[in-house]
Amino acid sequence: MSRCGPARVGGSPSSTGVDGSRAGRALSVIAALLVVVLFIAGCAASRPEGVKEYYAGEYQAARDIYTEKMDTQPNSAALYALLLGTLELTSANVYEARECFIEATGIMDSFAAKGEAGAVVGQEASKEYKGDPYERMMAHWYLGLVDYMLGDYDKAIPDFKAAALADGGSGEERYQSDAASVFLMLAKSYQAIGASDKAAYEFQGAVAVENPSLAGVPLAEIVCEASDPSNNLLVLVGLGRGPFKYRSGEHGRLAKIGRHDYPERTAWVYIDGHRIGRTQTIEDIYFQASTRGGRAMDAILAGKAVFKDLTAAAAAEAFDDAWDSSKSQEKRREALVGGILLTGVSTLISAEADIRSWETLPDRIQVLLARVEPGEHTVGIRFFGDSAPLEGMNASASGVDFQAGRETVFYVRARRGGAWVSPLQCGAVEMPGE
Amino acid sequence: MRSSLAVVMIAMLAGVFLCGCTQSAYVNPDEPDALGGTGIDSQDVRSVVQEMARDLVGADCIANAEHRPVIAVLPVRNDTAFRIDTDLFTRQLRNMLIKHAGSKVTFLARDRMAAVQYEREAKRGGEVSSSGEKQVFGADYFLTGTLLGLHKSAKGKRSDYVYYSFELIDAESSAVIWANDYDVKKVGKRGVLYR
Repeated sequence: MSRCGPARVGGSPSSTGVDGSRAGRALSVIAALLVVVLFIAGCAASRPEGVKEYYAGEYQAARDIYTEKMDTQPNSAALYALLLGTLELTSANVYEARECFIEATGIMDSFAAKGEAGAVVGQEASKEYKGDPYERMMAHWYLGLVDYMLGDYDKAIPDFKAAALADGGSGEERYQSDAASVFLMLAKSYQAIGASDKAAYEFQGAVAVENPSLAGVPLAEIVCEASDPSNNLLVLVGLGRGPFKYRSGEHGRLAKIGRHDYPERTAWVYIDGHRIGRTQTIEDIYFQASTRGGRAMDAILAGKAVFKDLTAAAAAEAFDDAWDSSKSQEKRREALVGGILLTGVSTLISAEADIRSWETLPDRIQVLLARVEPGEHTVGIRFFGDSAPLEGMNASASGVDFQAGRETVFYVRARRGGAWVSPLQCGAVEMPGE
Repeated sequence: MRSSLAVVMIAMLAGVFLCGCTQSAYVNPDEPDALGGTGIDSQDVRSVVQEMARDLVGADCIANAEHRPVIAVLPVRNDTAFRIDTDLFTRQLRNMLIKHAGSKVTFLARDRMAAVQYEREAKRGGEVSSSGEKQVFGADYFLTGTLLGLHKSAKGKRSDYVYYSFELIDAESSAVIWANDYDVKKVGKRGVLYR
């Protein structure tokens, strides 16, 4: 009864019945379309949560968010595992950090793509997050770093190799394998297992990278220090906030890379209060993120944007016809249904770019290698701006047991603290004054 | 009719988006899984181990040995870009050899030496009972291997060649008395949205 009722506005009873049936079916189609829209468009493309808490030093709050999101947002599980891994490493929970990076890289390296079909039609963020090449590179780099810190060099080697591959396979030839930090750590891993020939080869690779962001950095000097087996202190510091993504262009179809401003430029390292050296940039992560060129995704998004525009224009035309009194009642009704359908399709097509990214990466990574006399020492790290020390940005660890022939590794994040590890020793670097 | 068909198709489409529910199933470890990728998979490990074990059992140094050889397994060195636990190879290889040639070889649990030493000291100290003292075996041979890789990647496409090499080394002379290899090359590509 009800399916015929609304259409009874004139014409012959038979034609009214047919029109009513059509309209009813059309409404069913619209309803079904809306269901699909809900499932696809429901996955809002947004930047990750918990980043503000991380940078505010509210680690437990950030940890709770990341843990919850890993369960409730399976398509972003790798991203939240990376965020949690960064947090755990900053908190000196090295083993927990390793588990997080293993989980994240497992998803990022898999070729299976959950939600890819949905992303072609709907929100790009409905696809499973696997990271951009620079994120895949850094995920493997951090996993390698943690393995290296724990003395698991046999695992660190494939990690750093996978990092080089993730970076080198990312597109434009001239930027392939331009990650000096990857080659440096791969070389040190080979050095640690006694594979000196391979270590030498990778050290040469670190010096030879063509990376404009490292212009002026004395790579040869850094590599010389890194290859010196008498150096038993390796300090790696992360400066600033890493790159983030934002939408640009019509329908927000393009994801662009943004860079945060931050004051720290370098760090001086102290042993028992005596200055021993300054850290040097070995990786510019913003550069790595922003020099990938157009991915295939950009082209798809542009095509989707055109299709979205076309369907919206066709819908507008159909509505014009629906209001055109010179047309028959039946034609106007069909035009109305067509207009509604096209509007639904236009709404369904989302060209918005995916702006999920690993926002707790640092902007730069710097390194220092030095020799410290065996025995217990206090290690201090003081961050500097362009010319002056930055207040409240001093890190220190006391009672660090240095030994000849055994490397002690520090990873410190400016403002956030960090981890210091030598084999069988794990600790947190205190960073007061926040 | 067409509209009904459209409704069915759209409902199916919705079903595709809905089917992200958690599922798990037992699968044959000798067959590829649905995750794809070009890494080292369970079937690679099993194929390599079966090939090596079959060849090693028939090797002259074991099949025609005058006395039962004592073998210590050394960790396999992984020089590929794949982060795997190389114990997967050594454990399976050792177990397969014990299963099929257990009467011909003796394997040493060198990775459990700390526990063995502790127990020996406890027995000799009278802290625990003892059924007789024995000497800790020395190895006649070391069984070990190396994984090497050639990896290429460009615009979402990936090619990985992995070469597996295993050898039996005389623990006195360092002579390689048996060796065999296996290689696998895989190519794959990411979905279009991930390139």
